[in-house]
Formats: sequence, C-alpha cells, structure tokens
Amino acid sequence: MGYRPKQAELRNNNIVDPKDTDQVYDAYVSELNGNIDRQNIEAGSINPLDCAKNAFHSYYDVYTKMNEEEIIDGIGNSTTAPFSDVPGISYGLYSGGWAKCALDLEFDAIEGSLLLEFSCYAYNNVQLGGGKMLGGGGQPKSGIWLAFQILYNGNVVAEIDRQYRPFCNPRMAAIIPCATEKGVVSVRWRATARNNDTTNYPLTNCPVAFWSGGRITAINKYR
Amino acid sequence: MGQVNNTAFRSKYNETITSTEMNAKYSDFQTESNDVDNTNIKSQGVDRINLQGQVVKVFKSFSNKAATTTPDSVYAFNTLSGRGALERSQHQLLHGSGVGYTYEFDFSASPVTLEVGDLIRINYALQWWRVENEQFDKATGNAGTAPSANERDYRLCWLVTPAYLSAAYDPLSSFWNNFPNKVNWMSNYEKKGPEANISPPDRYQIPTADNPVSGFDDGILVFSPDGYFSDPETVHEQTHHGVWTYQNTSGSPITLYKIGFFIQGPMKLISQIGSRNRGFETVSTSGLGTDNSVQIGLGNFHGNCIIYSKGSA
Amino acid sequence: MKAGNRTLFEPLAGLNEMEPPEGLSAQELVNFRVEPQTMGWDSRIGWEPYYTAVTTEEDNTWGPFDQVGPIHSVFYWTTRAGAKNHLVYESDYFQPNVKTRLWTYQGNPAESIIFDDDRRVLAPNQAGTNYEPYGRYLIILNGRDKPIIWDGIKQRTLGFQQRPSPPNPWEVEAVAGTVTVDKTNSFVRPLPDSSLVVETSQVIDWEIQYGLGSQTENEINSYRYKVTWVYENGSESPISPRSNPTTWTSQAQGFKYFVWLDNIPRGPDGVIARRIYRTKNLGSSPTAVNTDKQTEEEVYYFLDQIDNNNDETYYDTTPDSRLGSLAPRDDHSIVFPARTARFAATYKNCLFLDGGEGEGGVVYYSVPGSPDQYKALDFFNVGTGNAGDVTALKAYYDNLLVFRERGIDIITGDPINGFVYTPFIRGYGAKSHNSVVEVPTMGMMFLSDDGIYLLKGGLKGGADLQLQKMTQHLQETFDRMNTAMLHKACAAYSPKWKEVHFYFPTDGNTEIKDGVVFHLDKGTFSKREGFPVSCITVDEHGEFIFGTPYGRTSVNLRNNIQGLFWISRSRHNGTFYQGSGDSGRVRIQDLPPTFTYWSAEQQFGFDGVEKAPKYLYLKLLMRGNNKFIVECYKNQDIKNPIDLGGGYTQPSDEEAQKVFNNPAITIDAVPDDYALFDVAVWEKPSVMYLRYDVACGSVNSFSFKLRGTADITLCGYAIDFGADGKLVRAVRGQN
Repeated sequence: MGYRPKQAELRNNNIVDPKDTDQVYDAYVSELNGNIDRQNIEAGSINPLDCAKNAFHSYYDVYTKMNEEEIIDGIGNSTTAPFSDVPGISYGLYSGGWAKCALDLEFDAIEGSLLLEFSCYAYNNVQLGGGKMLGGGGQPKSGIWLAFQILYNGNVVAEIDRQYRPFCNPRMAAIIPCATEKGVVSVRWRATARNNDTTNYPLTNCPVAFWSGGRITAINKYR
Repeated sequence: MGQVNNTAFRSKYNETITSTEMNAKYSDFQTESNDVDNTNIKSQGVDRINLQGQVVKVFKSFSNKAATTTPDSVYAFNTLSGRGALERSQHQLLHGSGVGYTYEFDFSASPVTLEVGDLIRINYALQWWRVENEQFDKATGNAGTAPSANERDYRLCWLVTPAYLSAAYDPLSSFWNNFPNKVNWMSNYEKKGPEANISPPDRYQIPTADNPVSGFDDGILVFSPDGYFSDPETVHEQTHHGVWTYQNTSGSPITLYKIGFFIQGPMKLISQIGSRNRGFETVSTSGLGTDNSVQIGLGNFHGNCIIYSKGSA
Repeated sequence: MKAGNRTLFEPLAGLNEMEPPEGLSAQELVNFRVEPQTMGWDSRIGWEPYYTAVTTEEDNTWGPFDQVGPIHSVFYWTTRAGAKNHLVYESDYFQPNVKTRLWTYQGNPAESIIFDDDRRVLAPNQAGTNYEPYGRYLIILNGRDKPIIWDGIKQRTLGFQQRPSPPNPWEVEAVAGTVTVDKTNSFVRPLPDSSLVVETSQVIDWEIQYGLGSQTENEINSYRYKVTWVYENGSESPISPRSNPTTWTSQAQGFKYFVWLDNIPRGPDGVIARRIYRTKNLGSSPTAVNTDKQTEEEVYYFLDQIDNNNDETYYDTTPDSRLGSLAPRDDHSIVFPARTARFAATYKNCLFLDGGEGEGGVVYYSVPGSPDQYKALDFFNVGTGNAGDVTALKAYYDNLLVFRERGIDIITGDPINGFVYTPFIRGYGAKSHNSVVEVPTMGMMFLSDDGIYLLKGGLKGGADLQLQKMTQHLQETFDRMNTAMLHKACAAYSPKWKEVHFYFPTDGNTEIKDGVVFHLDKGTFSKREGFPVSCITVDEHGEFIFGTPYGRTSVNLRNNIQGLFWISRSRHNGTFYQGSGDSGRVRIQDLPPTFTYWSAEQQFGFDGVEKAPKYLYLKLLMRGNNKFIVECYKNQDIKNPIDLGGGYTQPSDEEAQKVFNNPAITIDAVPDDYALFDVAVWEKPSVMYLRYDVACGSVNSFSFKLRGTADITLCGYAIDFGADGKLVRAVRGQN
C-alpha cells in the first residue's frame, strides 16, 4: 500500500480528541507494521546483491558420466582388431534396457518450477552407411543407438530419441512443476540390446557405447 | 522487524496530554523505522518493478548466419577469407570471416565478474558442413581416398570447447583461459586467437574415475562426420544443439571479458591401453588433400548465455 | 407565550424531497457522512490528492499527474492478498480531445507509466474504459481500441485476431540420391537410414515405427497439415486452413519417408506453443490431392506440439498409427468475435463480452477457462423486447445480469449444460456499466433513467429476484439528472465508509458535478457537492479513489485539479494551482467542503394550525470552537431566512473543552480554551444540546438550516413550540 488518505485531521478549534490523534498516527503505524509493499519500495532499488542468497531461484549442478566400473577399455592393444582401442560398455556388462548411472543430483527443491537440463558427449561403435566397420572389408554395421532420459524423483521427465551417430552431444531439457521436497535428478541411458549373432557381435570384449562429460543442471524458480 | 507498539491515546480520556507521550509515539516510529526488514513488507509485496536490473545477471547472445554467397566459402574456421576450412590437425578460435562476425560473447564493454557460485548457462547450435571426400584409414592412420580394404577410422571427431578472456583483447598478447576445474583443452596449443595453431599430436586425458575431483570433461562439443567417407549415405552436414553449464567452483571470482570457443581436430577417442590414458588424441593428417575437411558450411553458430547470480552470501 | 410542547427529532433520517415531508428527514443534506457512534450526520469529509506530496514539494508540477488531462476511468486491481495492487487509469493526454492514454501508477518514485498509448478520444457521451478481473488477468476494454488482457506484467491483445496460415510441407523425393537436402528448399530425400541393410536379428527395427507413407511399390502417398496457436492460459486459436498436399509414390526399396514442414506460422504476442495436426495417409484420394474440396476421409489428428513461438520448421516422422486425438473443428475456435466489446463479466469460468456499439444486441462468451477462445455459436442475440443495447454485464449470485438501456435480462446455466438467456424486466435499465454496483447485504444497485434501483435475491433455492426503486423520495434530484449523459455516470461501494456513491451529470452539464450517496448505516441518502468525480474506484482498504473531468487543458497549462484524488477525512476541498510557470505551485484548498443540513418542514401535526416555535435545540457532538451558521425559515419562505446566530460546539454552561489552537488565528478562539502540553487533559467529545432562541412568530411550517465548513456532528434536534394553548401532537413520518 503506497499511500493512505487521511483518516482524520487535527484542526485548530477542534477539541483535543485522542481518537483523532490516534487515527492519524495509526494509519501510518499499520503501514510500517507489515504493510509495506511494491508501491512503497522504490522502483528498481533492490539489486540482486540486496537479496538473500537463492532469493528468487536456486540452482544445482553435478558432473555425471557412465559408471566407471562398467567401462571396458577395448581388447588388448592391437591396433587392428575391431574396438580394440575405444572405451565403452560391452554386451558382457549390458544386455539392454534402461541403465541408471550412479551420479545423481540431489537437492532440496522449493515449490515452483524446475528447469532440468542434461548434456554430455557420447560415442557409438556404429557407422551409418556402407562403412567398413569390421576389419578387412567386413559387413556393414546396422544401427546401434544410444538414448537418454532424465528422471526426477524416479519419474521420467525428458527423453530423447535414439542417437545413431558415432559421436553426438545429447542434450535434454524439461521444465516441470515441483513441490517443496527432496529432489533427486538422475540420468538413464539405453543402447541397442545384445545381438544374437555373437560371432560378429561378441559379448565380452566389444565396447558398444560410451558417454562422458555429462552435467545435470537444475534451476529451481520459486512460485 | 520494525514494530511500533504504542498505547493509543484513545484510552486516556481525562488524562494529561504530555509532550513526553506524544514524542514517544514519534520516537518509537523513528526507532522502528530503522529496523525495517522482510517482516514489515507484506507477503509477496516486493514486485518486479522494485528490482534493479535483471535478476539474471547477464544475458547475451550472438547469431551468425550464412551469407547469401555460396555457403562453401564464406564462413570458416580459417583466417584466410577464401578458404573456409579446418584442413588439418589444428586448434583455433571459432570465428567468422569478415568484420563483426564474431562467435563469442563479448562483455568487454562492461566485464562480468563471475562470483564464486555464479552459474553460466550457454545454449548453442552449431551447424557444420563437410566438403572433403577423404577418409582416414584406421590401419595406416593416414588420410586418403576411400580404401576399400581397410577399416576406416570411426573414432575421429572434432572438439569444441569454451574459453574465456580475463582482460581486454589484444591480438598479440591476449591468451584465452580454460575454465577452472575442467580438462585443460587448451594445454597443447598456443592460446591466442583467432590464428590457427598447428601443433604436434598430443593427447588429453579424460576422467577415469566416477567422480573426478577436477579435470571434468564436460562442456565440450564433440562431432564427427562418421569417418570421412564420401558415401552418399553418410552425413554431410549436421546441426549440434547443446548446453553447458558452469558454476564457478574455483574459489575466487573470475572476470570475463569474452567467452569464445576453440575448435580442434581431427582427434580420436582412445581407450586406456598400456601406457596411454583414456582420452582424445590428435591424428596424423599426412596424405590429406588440399581440400577442406570440414567447415562451417552453412555458417551457423549461435548461442545465448545467461549468467545467474547466486545472490548475497 | 409559553412553549408548552417539545418535539425531539432523533435519530435523524436522510434526504427526502417529498411533500408532505417526513419529519426526521432533511430536505437538503449535502456533504455528510454517518458518524457510526452516534448515528449523527458528520461533516468531516474532504478530498485530497492521491499523491499528497504534490502540494508540499517545491516544484511546479503535478508530479506523477503532470501530463494528465481529464480522467475517464480508473480501476484499482488488487491481487495477491493486497500485496500486489495495480492502479490503472485512463486520461486524455496533455490536453482534451487529442488522444487518450492508459496509465499505471507506480508508488516510489511516484510516476505514471504509460500502459497503452494513442487510444481513441471519447465522444462526450461515451463511457471510459472498463476493467474486469478474470482469474489472474485483468481484461481492459473500451469498444474502440484493442481489447487488452493483462496479468500485471505482460499485456497483449485479447483473443485471436486472425487464423494461422497453413504450414508448407516440402515435396518428398521418392528416390534416394547423393544429396540429402537440396538447398533450393524444394524437396527432401528419404530417411538416409532406409538404405541400411537391416538384419533380421536386430531387436528393434526402427524403420517400422517411424516414417510416413506406404512401403508398397507404386502406392501413392499424400498428407496435409493444419496448425493452431496456443496462449499460456490454454486458449487455442482457430485452426488454420489445410496445407497443400505433399504427395509421392513409394519405391521398390520400401523406404519410409519423412516430411519436412516449414512456414509454420508464428503467432501473435503471448503465443507460447503451436499445435500441428495432420491427416492420415490420404493415398491417391483424388479429392484430397487434386481439388480444393475437403473429403470425408480428410480428417486431421493431433501430431505434435511445438512448445515455443519460434521454430518455423518441423521434421515429421510420425506414422499414422501414432497420431493423437482429433483436431479441433473450425467452429471450436474462431477469430475473436467481439473486437469492439465495451465491457465484460466473468461468470461460471467464462468471459462474457458485449458485441460493442455496432453489435449492441449480442453477448459473446468464451470457452470456460480460456478467455481468448470463442466458439462459433457461443453467443446470444438479445433482441427480446425493445429494450435497447446491452449496457452492462454483471455477475451476481447465480445469475449473470445483462443490463440494457431499458431492461434487464438474465443469463443462467453453465458452460457444460449450456447457458440460458431469459428476459427479466422491461422499462428499467442502466445506461452506464460503471453505475452498476454490488452492495453487500443489499444486492445490485444501479442508476437508471429516473433514479437508483436495487436488484436483490436470486433464482436458486426458492429465492426470489426482486427489483426495487430506492429513490422514490429524491425525485427533484433525479429530475435534474442529465439523462443524455448517463453513460458517464459512475458508482462505487466502500466497505470502510459503508457508503455507495453515485455520480452523474446534472442540470444539462456534460460532466459530473454532484453525487448521491447511500449510507448503509442509516439506509438513507445524502448528496455530495463539489466532488468533481468522473470515475471512481475503491482500494483494498475501502478508500475511494477518483478521477476528475479536469486536467491539463493545453500542453502548457496546468489545471487547478489534475490527477487522482482520495475521498478522505482530510478537511480540504481539493486543490488549486497557484501562479504559473516556474513559480507555480500545487496547493491544497484550505477551506473544507461546505455542508448544508436543512431540516424537513416541521408542521407539528396539522399545518393549518399556527404554532409558535420558541427554541431550537441542536443535539451535537461537541467538537470545540467550531462555528457554523444556523438560520430558519417560516412558512417555506426561502427568500427571507431568519438568522439564529452561530455557535461553537462547546458545552454552554461548563468549562470549555480544550482545543488545538493556532495562536496566530484567534478569530474563533474562546480565551484560555487551548490545550497546553502537560497541563491539558485529553478531551472526550460529549453529546450536548445547543439552544437557539427562535423569534419568528407564529408559523404553519418551520424549518432550519445549518451550513458552514466546520467539523460538526449533528445527532438530532428538538423544537419547543406553543400552539395557542392547544396541544398539538407532532406527527412523524406522514409518508
């Protein structure tokens, strides 16, 4: 409340009525006692440093990557064998389905909206066309893909379509409502499931997908 | 909290009017007005109009679009205006040719202090276009025309990484800095821009721990034209969308004059084998023709940058 | 002669202009409020500038109102439990009749901020802009300029003003080639992965799930698209015309295809998403492909939503089996039908709008919850009876009242089962939307051609909707009303003052000078004079804020009265502008508004018998050395008032009560009556009689008048009179 009109006016020749005196004063006391608002506070007078930390929004971020214990680093150090020198998960450690990585983002969310964002770089041992993937003019390789999801407290809030590129930079974003609650943001990934043809697609020593350099960011804007 | 508690005169009929009491009312108000805090303000009583500037500390964007001339020759990673190319293993600042075509967030006019805890968030879109029909032979490591017998090297890629200037730009002496606690993607090269820095092959180590203490490998953009093969079915051009966020975790404020992007390549992704660390390694480009391997064909690199202030500690 | 009779007139009633008079009433009652403790008539009112610092600052401007001409409308929109309030008003800019502006008021620094500019000038008999809250929005309409919807931060035009244009699907090149995208933007190749050799053992064959078109050789494929825009409140625009078809013939390889769309139309300000709708494969349907006719199989389904208002392209790989629900029909949302709407009402979650001056007999209503979306058939033609144009819409109880020039209709029902339009009454209507006001415990009060009416009750639960004229006894006042200018009338209710204010032009004037006030405490009326109200609103505390028909008269000339004012207990009669140029200053009028209390004609029974009034006793709340004038009239001879002298509202026999005193002004001072700190005590106003000798001889009819500018509270009066030895009973309330 920016202004209040006069609730009484002390005038000459009026008796010294305490009621009038009070009314004049009380209107302004009630302003100070909890009624100051946007009209009283000078426009543009509060700069961000006047505001408490995280006054309007808070943000959190965490580094994330494929679980290290699941990564194999190629087979031997042969320079000619396929997949000998790329890192990644193999079908010995992964047989399909959504896999959650261990590095989560945990924070105390405040009621409002959450902008969740995830990005990383990823690699598939795939070539799209008639590229010679297997040594010495082997068969062309059909699509191996990678896909990602963002989970908020266990619920999928964003998902990207399968990425068929050897290298890609998956990026996902979602804006979701949130309550005042413990928030856990996780990332899950998925790759093409194991192939029945274990001759050309060996189970244990063929890295199929790798991703790293992930960062989960949450920007919590309050209601 | 400023709270004026004063006995109303209303109850004092027939009591003496004292100047002391009257003054006390106003003194009380005076005292309490020094103590105004959030409890004096009505709930939700502070509005956008009361706030100075942007709650978001900085918003900046650039957009660089294709010119009307043939897209194959105008925008480039090269300082040579007629040669749009990153033709061999090298490292240079991403920039457009010609005046005003910067690929950077320029805060020089009013440098931004990234306080500890402040967050930068950058969204970008990079479109590249491939003109080289060479491929890299995985067995020989050489570039050349498509070898029918050998496996081509599918690990090849280019890296784009952010860097910043902490002082006004001087083309002779200014060095770009890697953001703290990241893999130092600048370490092998001269850190000036925009000239191309041709350097011997070297390697970057990327984390082999679940949660590294420093040397995080996020914030890079990795792209590949699938091993450089002139097959019509492979990809000739791509657009990469991405975001990277960086919270200043260095322990001290960082002054930003510019944020730019360096590109380097070709690189290849390698495993941790023998004495080698897992990471990206430059590859030999001997045998590569005079044509260009990759260039910003349709000339698009645009981004926007928001810096959020953590607020007062 | 002995005064054998005494009649006490208490509690006093309000204004009554009837003949014969009602004893407790007043034939003139101007500028009073009800003092709730004594239920007396209290003169302590006034009006002061909304931004009071203009009268104290030593510069020559009107501060935030310096560029403000006559004000046509004002609205105090309170949101967030009173924490976020917006004061919006509309004025001529700089000088009358050039253009009008909408402003919002900012408290600190005090400033009027332009909200909408270059608005059209009002005709003399046009009402100002109207404001109607709808949820978290404020709808702002005036029938001439663009209708505005505002959330307190962003404003935009209400409704969809046009249909989206259709998107453009590119041609599909059926044969794979060496170039994936042709830069001339004419066609796209099949999905590149379609040429992969797919192994049967592959777990997921993605080509079966994605892509458009038949995989059978020589089958013709054809698709069309439509688009809608979506506002943040969920309102969906009219659907676009259908796009051109994209057509191709499937090849032997069994490719599936994608379709590249461009020219997806960006919407107007406020659009946050676009929805794309698509047909299933229309195949070789000749009508779908080759002619403009829409065939029965050309049915559109939801394809996807683009959650921005930016992207102009879309990459469609969704097969027919993955399309969503049916697209909205052409009649589910139409171009905003009420572009010249003058007023709105929120009722049952729908926004009701009148059709505007050109369509005064139509009422439109929105889709529930979507104030920007209107269905083609959701409107009423109100032409039942010759009741004239719609003049106001007001939701009340379970009804939406449709005020018309000479009638009132009712809309009942709900958006699910349909609304019903029913005529309610003919003959009485309201001319001005702003003069209809809801009054708690009473009902809906409104100003009609001949007075103020009350509509109360409802139709639900056995209740009864009733209309009652409130001002039967104020015929003289309403005879003076300028009915041609009633569009300018305005009204407001304040819970703090417990008053309903009505202001309207009188005596042939085009602007408002006077008002009539209904006092809920007494259930009676009084008049306000000298309050230049052209529009009025009430803030969250119940304070009246008003605009005036005055303001800058030319670019360089400041007026005596400019900007917004409070009705308050400030004892000032507004402002004036002293001097000019750099030395000019805004000043407060020191003299308060003049009050007048003129008693009813007292006839003490049968007025054919002569009586002899002896004493007049005024029962007053003692307020100090307040001087006023008392005169009386004999036999309604208004040409010859008889002066009864003045008086102070001080006890006549006891010691005078102490007063605030300015030593420089001694004119009204009684010696030693001023209060000294630490000596005087707080005084309690007491109710006492002041007695006046009346020497007017015998009368048939007697009345007295009090007037002045002092602070008085008149609680009642008594008259001693003799009646030739015969006792005559004073009769109250001969009505």
